[in-house]
Amino acid sequence: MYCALQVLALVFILAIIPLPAVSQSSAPVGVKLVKPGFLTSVGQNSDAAVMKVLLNTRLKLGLEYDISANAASLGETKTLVLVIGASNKGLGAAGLSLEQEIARTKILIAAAREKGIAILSLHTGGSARRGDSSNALIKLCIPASSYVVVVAEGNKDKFFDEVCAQYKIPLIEVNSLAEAGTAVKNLFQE
Amino acid sequence: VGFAALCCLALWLAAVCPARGEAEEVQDAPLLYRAILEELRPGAAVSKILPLSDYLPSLKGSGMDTPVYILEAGFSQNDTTPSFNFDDKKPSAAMPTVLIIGGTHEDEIAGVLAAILFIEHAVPVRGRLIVVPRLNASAAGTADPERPGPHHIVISGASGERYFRYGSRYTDPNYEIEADPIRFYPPGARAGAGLSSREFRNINRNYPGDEAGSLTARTARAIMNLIARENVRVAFDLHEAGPSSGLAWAVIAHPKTIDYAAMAILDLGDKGLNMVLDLSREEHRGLSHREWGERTEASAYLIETLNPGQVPGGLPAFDHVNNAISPLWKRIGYHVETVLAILGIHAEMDEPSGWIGIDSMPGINELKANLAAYF
Repeated sequence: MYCALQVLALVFILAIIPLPAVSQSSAPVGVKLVKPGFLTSVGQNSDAAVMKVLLNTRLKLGLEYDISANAASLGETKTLVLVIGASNKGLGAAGLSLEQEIARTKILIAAAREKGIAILSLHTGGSARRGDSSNALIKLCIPASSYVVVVAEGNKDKFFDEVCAQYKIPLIEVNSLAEAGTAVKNLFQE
Repeated sequence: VGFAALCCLALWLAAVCPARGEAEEVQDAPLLYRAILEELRPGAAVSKILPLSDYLPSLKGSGMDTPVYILEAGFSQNDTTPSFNFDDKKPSAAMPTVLIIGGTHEDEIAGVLAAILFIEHAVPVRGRLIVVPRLNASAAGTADPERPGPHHIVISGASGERYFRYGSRYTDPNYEIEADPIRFYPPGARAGAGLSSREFRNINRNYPGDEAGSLTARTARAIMNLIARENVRVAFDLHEAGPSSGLAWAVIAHPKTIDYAAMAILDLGDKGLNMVLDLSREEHRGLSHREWGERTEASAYLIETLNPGQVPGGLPAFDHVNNAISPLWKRIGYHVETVLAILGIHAEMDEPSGWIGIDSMPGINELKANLAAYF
């Protein structure tokens, strides 16, 4: 009797606790991403350049790359990989305000949705790429994403958990850039 | 002996604590040079120490002349000094070389100490290493009036207590030959991109420099000449940034080798060291990474670590060595590891493969375990 109560209590607890959005370092169950893929930055950061080297040079994913892609860049793309994080210097050098970068991103996401392109959002720049500007971009990209991968140092406040849970987007939190690369590779169909 | 000791002390004090506003101080400027020499204990691989004025004679005798350390091992140096003109972008016949500069800003002390660590420990097994530990000699001997730090950093080293002067971001105006303008426009800066007047005395806004300009501009020009004459393939400028700047823990790379920096950042990440990549851009005219990268054959990188003492008003009593957030071992360790990681990529990717190799440097774990053992 006592044992049965324990089981019932456990079932009750599991029922009332929302399923965590975080799936630590393992690909979530679901559709695989398909190539050709296109890698770009949201926020004009240079983190995308690091991910390009990681995903293409080290992991041979062969993604097309343009730091400030637009809708016309997508071509035959099947998966759009967004590296999120606002760089004030990057925005300034590109002659863009945050509002203009948000507008560019909205157009890019809308074009991807119209073409049935899957979106994978990455955040790899750690705390240096957090703050109000980055958060605005994160909130813009996550709802449109099939998956989100974040390096833990940029998610100390669990902001990604909150937003992903709100939109029921699978989140993969990893501890390093290398793990982020592996997570992305695992999400792509061989 | 006692008299000689007193004389030495007087020389040092004269060097690091110049009285302000007296024209004859310029004649004492070589004392700054000697003070820097006495601060260092060169390692076995140092084959030569030259004055920076060898690369621009008009610096000789000024408060901006500073020691340049040449490190090499296992190779005979090319005896001939080839003619050069960096505007031609033609590499010289000298041995492929790496340049490390500390003390562009003398209050960014981890960059200075990392450069000194290379001079005292590095052994180039392939290629050649040139280190300028205190590029702005005059700034090494003065405090920034708007952002002073401690007078010096003390490290109780393996061979006794060592004192490293914590200086200023700017050339000491007592040693500069030109007055600050109302607004300063870096060379090549676009219209409207003027800076505050004292940036005129910031070496890292004066590249590519000017042989007939201010002493600050001449110092920048001397570095451009050094890069060209010594066949510098990879050049590092070691800096620090304050907590509010958003620049700390970053590598700023010229676009021509941004992928090399990205690869190095990945390698650092594999070791648990997190650095952010930033791109050297057109708006950075006058800065080392932009002008070295644009005007010479060298791959140019600027490295920034976090100096919590760089806050408005300064922190003269700040304990740089033992600070919990950004202790000195960590700041120096990141500089050393980042330089070595980038050089590892160049050794792997450039032709000929393996052209540069540096041994005997302590890594960040060794510095964490016992910083003093390496000083």
